[in-house]
Amino acid sequence: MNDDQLIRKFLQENHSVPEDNGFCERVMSHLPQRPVNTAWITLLEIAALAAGCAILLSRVDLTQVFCDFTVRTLQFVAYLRYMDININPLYMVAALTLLTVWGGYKIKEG
Amino acid sequence: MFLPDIALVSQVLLFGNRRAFDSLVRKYQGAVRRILLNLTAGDAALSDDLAQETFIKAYTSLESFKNRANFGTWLYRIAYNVFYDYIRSRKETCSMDDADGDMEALCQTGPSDNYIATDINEAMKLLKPNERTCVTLHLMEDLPIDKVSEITGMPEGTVKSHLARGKEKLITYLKRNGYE
Repeated sequence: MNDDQLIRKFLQENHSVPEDNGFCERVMSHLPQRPVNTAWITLLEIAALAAGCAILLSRVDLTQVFCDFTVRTLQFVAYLRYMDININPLYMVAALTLLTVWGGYKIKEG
Repeated sequence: MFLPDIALVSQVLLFGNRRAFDSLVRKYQGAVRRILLNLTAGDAALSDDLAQETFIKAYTSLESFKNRANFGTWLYRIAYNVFYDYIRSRKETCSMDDADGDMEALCQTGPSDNYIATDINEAMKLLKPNERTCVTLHLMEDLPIDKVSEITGMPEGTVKSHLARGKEKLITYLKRNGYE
């Protein structure tokens, strides 16, 4: 065994991975607050609204659209909550109502 | 749910998503703590404090991560700087290469650790801080020379010199202690 191999063998034998032992929780509890970039959240909300409008403007059955959009919205909200992202649920409800009313008007008009 | 590092970093930056940062901490805590444990020659309490400081610094300066290096390399560089800032703040060294005695004192004041063999701590105490850094990153963490150079800010030639000297001391220690 040459010198390099001997060193590597020694280091590998003694190479250990420290257990978590609450380390992550300790770090997370000491993190300072970060300012949330509200501009990006607003942009995302606008994008979601635009996508909803595009669906509704395609003049498909309103009930189907409403159900589909509701399910997708709930999934999106659940995902945001899972990822710890805070978007006021009232915005979602308001957007959903507005889209439904507006979509209905467009379908009736068309 | 598996997300790449850059996606997690973006979530922290854009939404202040702490859970995304928690995922990064969980992913890298083992490596960062192990590196610092070796740099402090086995002082578990000190290395955990330095690792905590490393993650807090990473969190507060996340904007400076440009994804040119991978996240791990960027984090190890912060850990390396935190370690040397600690040494400087203790006024234990003016020149890193003259820090032998001070580092030994530092190591001896720390409690014995629970998860690394005493042999390796003793062997690491024989190395100067820069030698220990290069040996830890290159031989223990298997990082290539150019990554070690990137993390430490030393030219590659200097990294190789520290490695050679570190290896020489380790070999002397190993042979003296009957490792063959």
